Amino acid sequence: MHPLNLTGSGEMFAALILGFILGFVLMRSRLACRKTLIDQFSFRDNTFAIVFLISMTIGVPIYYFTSKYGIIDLHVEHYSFWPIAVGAVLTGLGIAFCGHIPVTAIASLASGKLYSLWILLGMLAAFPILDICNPIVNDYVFNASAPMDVNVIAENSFFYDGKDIMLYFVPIVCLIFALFLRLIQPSKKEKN
Amino acid sequence: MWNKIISSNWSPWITGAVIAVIFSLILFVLNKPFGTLNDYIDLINAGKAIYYGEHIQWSWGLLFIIGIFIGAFIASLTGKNFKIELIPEDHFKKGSSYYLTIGPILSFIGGFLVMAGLIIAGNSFLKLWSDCLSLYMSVIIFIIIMFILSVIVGTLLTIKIEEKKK
Repeated sequence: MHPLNLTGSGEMFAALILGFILGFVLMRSRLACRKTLIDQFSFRDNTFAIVFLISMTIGVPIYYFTSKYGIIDLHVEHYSFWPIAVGAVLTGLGIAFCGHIPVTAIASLASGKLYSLWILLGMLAAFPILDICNPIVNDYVFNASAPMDVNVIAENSFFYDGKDIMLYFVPIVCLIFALFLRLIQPSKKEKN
Repeated sequence: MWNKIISSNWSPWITGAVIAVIFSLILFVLNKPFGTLNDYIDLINAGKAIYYGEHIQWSWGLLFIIGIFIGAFIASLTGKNFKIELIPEDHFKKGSSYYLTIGPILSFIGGFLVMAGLIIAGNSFLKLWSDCLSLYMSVIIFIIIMFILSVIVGTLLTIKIEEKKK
């Protein structure tokens, strides 16, 4: 079995429907609410972390078996150490300030939260501004000598690279973390 | 049953599983990395085309984002939580001097930092999330650093707000 690999209008229609389902899920799970992410980082509401960890618990075996039998292709990406580290710092700071990631900001705007427009404008402004700052970012981030090759680490840790133990270890650890986060989550009464 | 699915809040346990299935389904149907930075560039280009009255160049990535927008809109209508809000509740509580000036600026800067971070890291959050399911160690490092930093800054901001309340 191979991926469907749709093209043309079929691809367009499928993208619209799959986007629709994802948007619907983001809204129904409250991930698109600003408060959910902001409360996550003070551990008052662990919804986001639990969703992420459970997606790992379920997704890692699905990705493993479907890629093993050729049903999906895992598109291998190459990352570098400093861009990953600097990017994570900036993204973390940004989320603490605005409480959204790009998809949740779009979903939030769709639910009538017009203030998300400021966040989205900031996100879209990043493209031309970083284009202007490209020489500086290139010198200090992309061309900086990396203390380790993260792609080597990534390749070594890939479950389809003979490290089947990760297939069981990661989902179980994620599940335990998710249960722990659920346990320490304050009840609605305590939150109020 | 159907009414409950479309109108009530989903548990994070079910949502996590559904998101993992959706990610796999997208890879099966489209066989392309989804929700990438190019989709947002397409969105900017579509905005430019509308502004200059030109023909929009439709791409599957752009339609994916439009699908997210429509899906969230329908979900908010069916869940009866569609509400026009100009100012976030927590900004409103801090008074007009905050929500008219600092609030929008912080939101803009926050949005800018999120996307700038993702551009520098090399992919959008959705793609990084999907790469996490392929057990990319580098992406797991990204998520851990991002989470720790957000917790630190989020906690500092909460402490500051609580001190002000006292």
